Amino acid sequence: MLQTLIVYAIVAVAAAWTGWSMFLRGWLRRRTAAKTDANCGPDCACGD
Amino acid sequence: MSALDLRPEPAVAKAAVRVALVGNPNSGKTAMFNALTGSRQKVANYAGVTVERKEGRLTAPSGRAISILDLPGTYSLRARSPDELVTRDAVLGRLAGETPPDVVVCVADATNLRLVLRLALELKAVGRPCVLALNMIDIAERQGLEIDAERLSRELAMPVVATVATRRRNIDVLVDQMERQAALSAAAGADAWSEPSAGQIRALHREAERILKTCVLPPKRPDTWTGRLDNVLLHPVGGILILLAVLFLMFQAVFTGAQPVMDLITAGFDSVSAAIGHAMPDGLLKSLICDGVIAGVGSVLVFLPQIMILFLFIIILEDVGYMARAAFLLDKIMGGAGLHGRAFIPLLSSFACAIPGIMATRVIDNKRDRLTTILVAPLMTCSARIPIYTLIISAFIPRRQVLGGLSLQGLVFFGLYAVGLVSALAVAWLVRKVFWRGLAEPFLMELPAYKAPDPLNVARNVLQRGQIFLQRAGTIILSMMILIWFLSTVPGAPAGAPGPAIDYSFAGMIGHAMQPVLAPVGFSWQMSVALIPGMAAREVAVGALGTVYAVSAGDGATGALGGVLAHQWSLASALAFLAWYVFAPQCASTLGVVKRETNSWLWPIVMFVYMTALAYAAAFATFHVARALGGG
Repeated sequence: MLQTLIVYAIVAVAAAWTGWSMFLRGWLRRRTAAKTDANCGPDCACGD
Repeated sequence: MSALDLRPEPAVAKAAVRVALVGNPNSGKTAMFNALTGSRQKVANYAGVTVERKEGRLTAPSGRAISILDLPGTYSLRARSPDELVTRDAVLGRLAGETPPDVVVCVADATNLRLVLRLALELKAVGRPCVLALNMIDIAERQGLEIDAERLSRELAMPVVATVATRRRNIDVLVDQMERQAALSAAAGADAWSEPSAGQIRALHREAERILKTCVLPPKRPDTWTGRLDNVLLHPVGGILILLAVLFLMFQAVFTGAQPVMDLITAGFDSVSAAIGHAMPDGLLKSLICDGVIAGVGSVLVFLPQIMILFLFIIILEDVGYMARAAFLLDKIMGGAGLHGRAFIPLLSSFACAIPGIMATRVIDNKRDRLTTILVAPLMTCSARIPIYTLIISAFIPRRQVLGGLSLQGLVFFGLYAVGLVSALAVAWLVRKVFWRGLAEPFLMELPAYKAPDPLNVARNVLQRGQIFLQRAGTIILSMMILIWFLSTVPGAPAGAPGPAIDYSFAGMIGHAMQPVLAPVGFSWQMSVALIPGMAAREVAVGALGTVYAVSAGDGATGALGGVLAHQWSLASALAFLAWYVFAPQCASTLGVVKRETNSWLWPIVMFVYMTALAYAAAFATFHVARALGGG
């Protein structure tokens, strides 16, 4: 039972990390960049 | 030569100084940035590598903070391409969110001052305090060039510092000049710049020629080494043959040189897996560690030596100065396909990863040329494909010598790279012929002098590549492998189920649902499952296959993945899988960058649709031809 709990916790952390690094992090960066720099667009070199 | 200051020493203010590095492409700006800030940025030897904003900080001996901005290379403030516009606007203080620089440091390649003198005159006209850094002065001295720095400083009316950025020579003098000039910034008048007309540019060019004649004496005995080498390496036929031979040698080395280390890594993971298998009781946790983490991540990590050998070659060729020659040689071929000569840099970057390659298309000023390059960049073989290619080649292509001692596996690997390149040219040609007709614009580039590679720079860059790969394996690949293991294990098989447990898992369900669509191209359901996490990063597909087959085998009895695939897949299916990965848009990040760079969803959708169609057609044709030839 404890082993199953540990495994499910690891899987939950992995799912959260995957979701964060693949989708949320980029979305958050773009959102922040859009707020701080309204001109950030295709030709902007800020890297976001 | 020494630093010269034409103005009285100003009182030192303690506010942070903002310095912008400007210069022609390939003048050593990035090396200067590294020397000043200690930052470890990639130093390349072909034009236009700096396409992103790079900022670093240093503290001067006086204790004053200096912020350095490394700007994209440009020949003039009369900017045309997106990266040149960034440089111009940053210098003029017009870039949104960017504070105007207090001092502009114009980094010049001392061996080739003709074009940079015109840029220095343009910068002077802006009205900000400038310093000219005569970089690579050691090479200029070796070539026998005599530069009268004192006179040059008087002619340009700015301090001149002779530097060698890679050896940090006179960097302290340059920093001192930055501080002195910064104090003049407040006194400098408002920017009096307006875009020069063609006539004004010609006048500046004449002035630069005059200064060059008065301040630079050509060598008494000209160095003919570069010329002699170029006679051979840039020969229209011989040069191309040498380039092909160099690339071919590179791919041979990737296979033959890496094998012993790869065998060691595989043996290491096998013994760790066996030790854990013996030490832990059977159960979910043991399966997660052995079948998920070790089998999945291990099957990707084993390709580290090949990736490092490939980048060792690429970085040495950049450092030596050969990559610029490769661009020159391929320009005619690329022009025939309708690509602009400047597309070579983004396409070359795409051999590492399509993302920096697509970002590097900012060096192309024509929008249609830029879009064409963006659309074909992911067809170049990125490093994430290497694990897939090498896995399938090692498993299905016999390890034997052909054509008098050439490795057959290396030959196939070279062929896959060639297919990627040829298909990129073919698609570009089609796009230009069918959608965007018109003449390609001419391409001008300077060829740097050959120089010995800097061992420290090479080692640092190769290690950086390895570090990036390990970082991915330890983060996104690890987390994806845990999820794949979960999907392949849960829910368990019902009591008395006849098939293997994985058939009843979520992964089994997804694979079986996808299989009817992919069956015509010869993909099994396990191969179909591997395509899904492969969207995160191509190499994850290898880890996914490792996990799926490890779970199928049970008890951690996995063996090397290549051996398992050789037993389970037909040759036709394996070749179809390779063909799929040559073309498939299996990378969500690339599509995201295309959206960002084009500011439209249209182009990532166009890219996804055309690449998927190409991948399906290529895999279909490969599968059926291979089967007809007896590979089924």
